[in-house]
Amino acid sequence: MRIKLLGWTEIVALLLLSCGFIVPMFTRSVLVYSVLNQAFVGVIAAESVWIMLRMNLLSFATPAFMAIGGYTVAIAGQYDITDAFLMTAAAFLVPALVAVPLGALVLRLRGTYFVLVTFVLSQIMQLLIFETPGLTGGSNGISGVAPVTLFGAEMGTNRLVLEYACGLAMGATLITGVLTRYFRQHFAAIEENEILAESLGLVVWRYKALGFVVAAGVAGLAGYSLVNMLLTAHPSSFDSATAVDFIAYTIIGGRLSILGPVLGTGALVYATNLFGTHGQYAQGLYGVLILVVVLAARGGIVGTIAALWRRVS
Amino acid sequence: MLLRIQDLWVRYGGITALSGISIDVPEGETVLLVGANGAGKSSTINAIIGLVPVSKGRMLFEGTDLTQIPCERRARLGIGYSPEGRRVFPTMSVTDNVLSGAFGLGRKRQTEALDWLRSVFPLLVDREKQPAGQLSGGQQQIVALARAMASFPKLLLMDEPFLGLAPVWIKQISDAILQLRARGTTVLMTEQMARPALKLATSGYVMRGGEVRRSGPVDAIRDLALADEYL
Amino acid sequence: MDQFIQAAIIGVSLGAQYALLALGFTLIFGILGVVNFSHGGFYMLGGYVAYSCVAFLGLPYPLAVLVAVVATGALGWVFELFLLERLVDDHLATLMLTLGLYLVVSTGLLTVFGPLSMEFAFPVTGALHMGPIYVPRENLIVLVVCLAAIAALWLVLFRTDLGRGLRALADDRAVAMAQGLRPKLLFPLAFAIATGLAGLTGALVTPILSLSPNVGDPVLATSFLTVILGGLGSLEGAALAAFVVGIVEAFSSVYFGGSIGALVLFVLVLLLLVFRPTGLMGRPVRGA
Repeated sequence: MRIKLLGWTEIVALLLLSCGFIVPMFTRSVLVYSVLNQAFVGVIAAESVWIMLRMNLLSFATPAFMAIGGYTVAIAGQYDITDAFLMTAAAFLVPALVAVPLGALVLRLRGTYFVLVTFVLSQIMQLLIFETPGLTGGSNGISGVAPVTLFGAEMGTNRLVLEYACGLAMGATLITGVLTRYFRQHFAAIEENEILAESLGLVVWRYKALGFVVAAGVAGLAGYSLVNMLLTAHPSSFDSATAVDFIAYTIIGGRLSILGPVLGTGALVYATNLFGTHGQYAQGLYGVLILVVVLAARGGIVGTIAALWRRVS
Repeated sequence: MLLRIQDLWVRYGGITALSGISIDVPEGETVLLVGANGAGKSSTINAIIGLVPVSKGRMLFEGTDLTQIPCERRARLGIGYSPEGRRVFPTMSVTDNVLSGAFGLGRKRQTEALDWLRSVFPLLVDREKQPAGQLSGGQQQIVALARAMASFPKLLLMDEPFLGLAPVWIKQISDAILQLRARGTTVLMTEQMARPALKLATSGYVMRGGEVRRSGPVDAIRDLALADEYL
Repeated sequence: MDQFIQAAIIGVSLGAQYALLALGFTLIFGILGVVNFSHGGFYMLGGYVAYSCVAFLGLPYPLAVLVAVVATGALGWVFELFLLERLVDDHLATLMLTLGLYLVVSTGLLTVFGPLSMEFAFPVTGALHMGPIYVPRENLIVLVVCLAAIAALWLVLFRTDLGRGLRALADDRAVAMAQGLRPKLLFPLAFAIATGLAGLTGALVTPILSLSPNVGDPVLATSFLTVILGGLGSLEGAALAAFVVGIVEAFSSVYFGGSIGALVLFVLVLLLLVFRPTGLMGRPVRGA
């Protein structure tokens, strides 16, 4: 049996994201750049959540792995290591490696434990950053991170930073897409009925752990993108409360396809910016939308569009 | 007729567990459903108490169609239920298990029920504080029976009361059932072990593959029931 | 030595607070199978209701605490009955519903009261001096009220018909329903009891710690640590683990300072999950 590595949803998602290369041709608005940058970071983080949601697991650990990826890059920058390829690999691999023992441990247990442990993990990561000022700069963070270099050339301008963030988001989408396509049946079996899947000989926790490790790596890329945008690694960037934002992006966007996290992030980052300086109120909107999605529109934005489309055609 | 089941169908997923059975349980009698594993005995009991949905048919309990009543309200109509595998509440004490069968009936009726059940089953006094999950299988069956009887039901449903029990306990449980029946309780029970069950029953139904094969007074079904026992 | 005893007293007092939170959380999980992410929200709400009663209505503090318990219990009851109950068997959906409620509650509090901490002081001040040992009176009062609430919860659960019904539903929902126990009646009550306890803890503790719209998250994290340590769904385990957590936290803050205590606890929980996945007093975990 031939396994398709990418489906049309992934291709649409990649096309949508590629607007990061097109928009700078038309505008230099700082606001547009900032919103797009935030959206690209958010998309990567939401995809990390989405991978686990494919197996009915809700992860609150995204900020923790983002922090690991982000600080890895920031610390490497202090040693003048700024090569884009090297840093991308490091931002993916270091969090992924940290996730291996953790995943093997927690994912043998029922999903509830996973949710609780990931929530606590994000809180703990904040404390760890504050408790290790020698490595992470503690509450001051690491500022003045050197811009990334591509083939030796510095990617310093706003436009280059945006394009780099766009590239990272597309890369993360590619990784997420290939993983969830390749293991589509395994993930679907686990989502459908874990006990049945297990009784049919699927070693469920291994696939969950694999998903968790890749999700951690993807989150690391989000952290990298965030640090590269701000040129600072600061504990507040990885606040545990942001885990809820990424979950909201994914659920509200729709958990059925990868278009969910992409569209959900786009819509909610845009909506949050409408709040202007009162961004803290956006979480209330997320809360209401989550309630609406769960009670009335289980497919989220993507599922609702798909349902409307089917009714029309 | 206390319970009259007419053309009852139960399907789960793609599997048909019951294909149009009809069963009558007259007041005061002990009716036995016998048959091998998968014959549809437990499905019948579960349909009556409401743990599986009925796809077609009627179940008239004192003239009320049970299919129109949600599971949690059927007990109040006067149906007691002792499940397959006993399923006592494992973390709760023996006394609490029994009393949970009389939930919301008021302290007076609860005390009355507890006193009576304790007089019938001394075990309930000896082990009153012990978590029911720690008891042996036979002891748990006594607790499950007492729990089912705590509301003084008109109809007692017993799903495989002898399952996995040693002969000594089968004898004890049989005696217990006889004592409960002496109160005038109507019983509908299922059992794979036909021999001890036939001693208790007044009439019975032999089931195979989700259908009733033969029905009638105990003597009329005995040979077929015993033949099935060795399948 | 004095320092040791003082730390022990603070630890027990913290443990009693955590026990109230964790008991409510584990009660909801054990009976409904729901992971309640809004637990920290009810804690905050309890604090703000009590604060409002004192600051705006001029009610005496004990009455304000009572109002907070009733208000949080009532909101929990309504939320369970009208929203949660529809999807109560879907673990992921209920988790997201409670998360949504938490976001709405915390944003609502932020909108009404603003992001800054409230000036909400405990009405009793001063300290008890027993020789060289010094215990703040407010801590003692909180300890006594918490222990009384735990005792009351115990009486309800283990000495009343309602408690029997709730425990039966936790042990085996299908058989409990077949015995005539009605989840539609009992689930909202269980949820209300648990959220009322969270509200009580908030009303009691926020005047001592702090009251702002972001105190819910750490409370939730502590509850999680506690129930994992005690074994999900186990009441005795939650109570025991709460005191372990409280004492570890108190001692580490006295002897090491900072947040080492939380790190130690997290490592402890991970180790526990390796060697004893069901927690200190756990029983087999229910699905998903």
